[in-house]
Amino acid sequence: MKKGIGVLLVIIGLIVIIAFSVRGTYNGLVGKQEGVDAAWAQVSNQYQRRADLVPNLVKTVEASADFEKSTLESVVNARASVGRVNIDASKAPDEATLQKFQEAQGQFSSALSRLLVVAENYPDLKASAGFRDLQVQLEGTENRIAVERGRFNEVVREYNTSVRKFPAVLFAGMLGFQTKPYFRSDAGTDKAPEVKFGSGQ
Amino acid sequence: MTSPRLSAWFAVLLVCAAMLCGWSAATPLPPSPSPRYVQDDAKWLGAHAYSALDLKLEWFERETSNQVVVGIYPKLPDGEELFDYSQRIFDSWKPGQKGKDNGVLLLVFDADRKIRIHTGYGVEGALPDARAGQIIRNVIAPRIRAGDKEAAINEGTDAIMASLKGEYEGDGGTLLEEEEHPVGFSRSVWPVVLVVGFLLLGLRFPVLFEVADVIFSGIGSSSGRGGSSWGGGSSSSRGGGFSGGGGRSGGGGASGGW
Repeated sequence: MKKGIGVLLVIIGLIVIIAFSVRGTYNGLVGKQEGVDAAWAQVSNQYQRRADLVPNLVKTVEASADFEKSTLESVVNARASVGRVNIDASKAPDEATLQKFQEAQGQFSSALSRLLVVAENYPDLKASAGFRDLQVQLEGTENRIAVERGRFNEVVREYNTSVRKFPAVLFAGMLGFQTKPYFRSDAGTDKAPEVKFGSGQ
Repeated sequence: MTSPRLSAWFAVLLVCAAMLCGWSAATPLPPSPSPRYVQDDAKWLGAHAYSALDLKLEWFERETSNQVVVGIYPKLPDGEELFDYSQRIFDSWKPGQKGKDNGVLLLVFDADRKIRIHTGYGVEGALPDARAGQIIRNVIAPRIRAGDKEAAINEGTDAIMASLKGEYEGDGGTLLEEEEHPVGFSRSVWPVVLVVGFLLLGLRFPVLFEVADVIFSGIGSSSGRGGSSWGGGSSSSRGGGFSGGGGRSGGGGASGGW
């Protein structure tokens, strides 16, 4: 009888210990997941900021009378298709959504960089203060995107590592903690558009 | 321990060390100019201009809490790209107050003829990229081209400071001073808590007082001071100066050249 109680106490003790360890791991995962979502919000902010530059870009470029219509149109179209990718800015996306998002943004990136290359042929446009400011803003936005993407990947890596670690790996899936996808640097779209600086002479 | 295992272990260590060395050789970052605000490796500034600029930036931190830091280098390291390199320098020097992220970096690379203004998160509103680009294009680059490098840096920092003014308020000190004379809970309140706690305990157990008397008289006779040992103070000849406060940057700012 006494022995039975002892065994029972040991079992209860073990359950309490396990419960606490699960609780600690769970709380840790919640915190990390929130970190991933916050990093995602930063990333999508910066992409939004880039999209918001387009109206101003169109206005500035259209002022240059003979600018190639097709180049400008492809930027506007790419901007529109970026807007069609339905994505929640407050929650890190799943693999498929992120891929669609990256594809659309990649096309937008290359349309923008094509426009900047074409603009090289328009000295008046290039020399205008408005266009120069836009160039700086575009470059700054691309830089920010690169930085925030890097930071996003970093926190996702941390999160994924802790999801796969023991003991989290035993129950993370059950509690809804799936590993999250990274940004992939696919050729061409990852690079910021090359922005040339006028030497002033 | 068998010797093959030992030598295998050493091989692993060697490989690790080689990787570490290779890694750090690939990413050399210049050290923070702390406690100065200016690092002039390219020798653009005369002694007078250097200290005037340094003082001006220190005064600016006292006044506004913004940290503007200048680095003038002979060249970009091989294979380094201006933006990435600046971002890494920002991450390492951490100009700006923690939470406010109000730091700005002005970097110049002489041989590459490149200029970078790199802004912290907190000053992106006051000093937007377009404004940073204008400062490079309209203030700094023309003066370098005209051959007046001191004026370029001086008036460039003036323009940066003018943009930042009004965004944050300073408290008259610099971060470095606060590090040297912290007024946190740990320094100011704990001794009081300890003394009061000891007195209360002593009232309950008078023997504690006797023990303390023995201990303190012992210290007193050996050190000859017979008193407290705190209140040393810092021996730095120059109060204040730059010390990175943990400011973060998301890559804001502008690049340019001359």
